[in-house]
This record gives sequence, C-alpha cells and structure tokens, in this order.
Amino acid sequence: MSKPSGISACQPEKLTLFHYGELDPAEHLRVKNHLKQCPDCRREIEQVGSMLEMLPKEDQEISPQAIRSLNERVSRRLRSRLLPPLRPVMGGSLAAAAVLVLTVTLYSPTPEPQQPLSETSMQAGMQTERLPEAELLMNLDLLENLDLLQELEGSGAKG
Amino acid sequence: MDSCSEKTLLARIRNGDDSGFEALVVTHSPRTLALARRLTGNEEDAEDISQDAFLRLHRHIGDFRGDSSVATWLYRTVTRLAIDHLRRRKIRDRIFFFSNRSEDEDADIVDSAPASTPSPADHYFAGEIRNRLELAMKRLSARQRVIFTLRHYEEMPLRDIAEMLDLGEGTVKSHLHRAVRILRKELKELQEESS
Repeated sequence: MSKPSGISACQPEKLTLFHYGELDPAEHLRVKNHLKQCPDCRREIEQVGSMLEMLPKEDQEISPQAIRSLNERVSRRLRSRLLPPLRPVMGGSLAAAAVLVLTVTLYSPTPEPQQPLSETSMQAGMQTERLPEAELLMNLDLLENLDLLQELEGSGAKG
Repeated sequence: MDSCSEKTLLARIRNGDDSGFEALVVTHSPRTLALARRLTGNEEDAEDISQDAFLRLHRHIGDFRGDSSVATWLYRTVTRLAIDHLRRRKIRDRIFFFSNRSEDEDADIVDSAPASTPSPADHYFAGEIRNRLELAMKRLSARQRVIFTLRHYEEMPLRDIAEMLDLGEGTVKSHLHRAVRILRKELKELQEESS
C-alpha cells in the first residue's frame, strides 16, 4: 500500500471490512484472492489487524457501587416525578397572594366616580392605569431628593 | 429475563406498580451502564446517560408495544443518547479548548488491569495503550466512535448498527473504515513501539 495508485486500486475500505468479516461471500472471496497476489494489501491488512488486536478488549467492569448509585438515582427521580406537585402549587399560590396584597396596599384606588365596567375590562384597565402611577411615585421620590439637593446647594452657595 | 416474565413485569408497571419498574432497572442497569461507559469512556457520563434512558423508558412505558425487548430498547436509546452526549462534549471541548484530558478523566480509563499478572513494563504499556486509545478515540466523530465501539467491542454486525442508528449500511461501513484509519494514524507510534 506504499504506492498511491495501489491504494485506490486496492480499496482499503474493503480490507477493513474484510478484517471484520463484513463483506458478502463473493466480495470476501475476491479480496482473499487479491491478497494472495498483492503484497501491499497483505502488509496493510496485517498492520490493521495488529493495531486492532493491540486494543484492550476486556469487559467493562462496573462496580456494584455504580450500579447501586444508578438504581437509587432512578428511584429517587421516579418518586419525585410521581409525587403530586404540591409544593410548586402552594408556593405559587402564596406568591400570587403576596403580590395581590402588596398591590392592594400600595396602590389602593382613590374613590372616584366611575362608569360601571365589566370585570375583565376593569382588571385590564387597572393594570394599564397603575403602571404610570407607580413610575410617578418613584419619580416623586427622585424629585424630592433633587429638591433637597438643590436646597442644600443653594444654602451652601449662600453660606 | 425471558420475554414472558418481561411482559408480566411490564403489565405490572402499566398498572402502577413502581416496584416492578425498580426490578426492571436492577435487571438492566449493569449492561446499560457498561455500554454507556464503553461509548463515552467516562463513568459519570455513563451514569447520567443510563439514568436518562431509564426515565425515558418509564415515561413511555404505556406506549411500549413489546415489538422489541426492553434490553434492545435500552441499548438503542443509550446509543443515541451517547451520540448526542459525545457531540455536545466535542463542541464544548472545542469552545473551551479542553483538548487534553484531565488527570481525573484519565484515571477512569486506566482503572481496570489486565487479567494475567503483568510485569511492571506490561502494566505500564497496558496503561499507555488505554491512555493513547482514549485520546485517539477523541479524534473520532461521535458517530465514528459509536460505530467503532459497537462493532469492535460489542461485536454487533454492521447491519444491526445501521438499523439501530437509522443509517444506511454503506454509511456505517464508511464510518467504521474512517474510524479505523484515524485510530491507526493516532496509534502508529505505539504500534511501532510494541513491535
């Protein structure tokens, strides 16, 4: 197989398949006959064979601990999967309740005469109206701090 | 486990008997772990892949028609999961330049000694082969590695491998040949040392 022309003519893929006994009987016979008259291919298949035989082929020894660990992991995952999902539901409800309480406490609506609205449109309206209000409250804090700074600056300049 | 007792066990599991599934895991986990470890070369990865395969089996147990045995189903699933895993690992290695194995990973490959009592030189050489082989295996694509492992170590016929991976037999043959070619190139030095 030292000559490039030999490689294409001799089809090295077939030699690999020959080694593994993966050629159909007719092809197997053809390669076998070819090997008798081709020293390059004989050398090639010898080298492939010795390389593959060099590879350690002992069974994978799996420790009993590894097997036990896997069995436990699978059982644990199955138990957690089969349990009714109480915690997320409870957690979600608590979080929703907390948000609701905070919303009502912080942004309790001032009594204004309102047109009667349907429940859903009222909720949607509340959401869109409350957002600018919250921003305004934050801005008011900022404005108050700015006023305070300006007052301090003014008094400093005077003094 | 024969097919009759497996069918009984599957029926029990479908009726909500979880101890039945645990029995199934106990029966199949040694082979599943061994295959996953052979395919990935790493014990932790093998455990993750095996766990994933069993959880998938549990999830789909209602759809399991019994056309194939549980062992075959697991074999196929572990192989496919291993290909996905190897692909991800290759991408991660490329991104982070982890082209060299860490010492911990190497220890996984070396931890089994040859059966006969070896001389120190033999022992060293056997360890060296495993180390170099694992490095060489990392040069293979995920498919090449899996196909080579299944053919060379598991001695599975290429036709069965092709069917299991939904690939043409010609494609599998090409992958096997390329894998052998790469391994030969990577292990050439070692082969010369041994001869």
